[in-house]
Amino acid sequence: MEFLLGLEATTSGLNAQRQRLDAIFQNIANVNTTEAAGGGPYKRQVVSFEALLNEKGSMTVGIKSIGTDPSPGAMIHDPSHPHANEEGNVEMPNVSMSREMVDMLSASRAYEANLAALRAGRSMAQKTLEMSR
Amino acid sequence: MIEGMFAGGNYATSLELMDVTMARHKALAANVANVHTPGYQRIDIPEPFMDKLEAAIKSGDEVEIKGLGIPEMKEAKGFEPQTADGNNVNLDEEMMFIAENAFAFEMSAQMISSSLRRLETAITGRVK
Repeated sequence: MEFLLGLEATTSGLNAQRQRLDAIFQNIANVNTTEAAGGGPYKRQVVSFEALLNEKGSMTVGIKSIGTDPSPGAMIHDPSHPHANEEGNVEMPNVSMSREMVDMLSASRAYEANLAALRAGRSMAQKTLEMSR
Repeated sequence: MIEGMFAGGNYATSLELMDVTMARHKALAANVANVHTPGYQRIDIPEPFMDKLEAAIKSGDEVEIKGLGIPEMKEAKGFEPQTADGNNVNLDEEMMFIAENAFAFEMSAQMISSSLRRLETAITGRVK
């Protein structure tokens, strides 16, 4: 039995959204990284979720995968760039700043919603305790 | 006398409602957690159970209410997909359900504790 109602679901939700935020921060930090580990420009990280029924029968959310977005980045003509190809073009990361900002907002709102659910669960547990007063 | 206080349909209803709202909170918290899960279908108390609960409360039959037990959460019908992937969790709606559910829980908890307080008054003869 969970003492705080919905604790398993809520913690999994908080954890999932935080991991998503981590990936978004990483994408923003690497918006101009033209050479990442493994060669080529940095590729946008995408976190995908899946619904999981845990062994206690509670519905939770889990990280299905943290993958890379394979779409090509924009080509910029800059012959002076050390990572420029023979034609003088540089492939930039496929990170779109506006898209990351929107994702960040959506992830942090979802994180807050999970916190609100936790508060409601906690006040319900508190009410149960107060019954014996 | 004392049995009368705890044997009535109202007391059984409050106990049952506490169990149901606690179970529902877990389901609603799971829905909020899965707000960004592709294709997730929100879970809730199945409608047949709600109908049975309503009928039992209306009848006031204690045995019937006690026999209801805790519902198993199922995928809810009739909710429009919110995103292209088919996820049908509407965050605003879900937060409203959570608030509403917590209120119903509080109400039944208060019913039970006031029954207990009345019993205390009867025993001690003092009104707290």
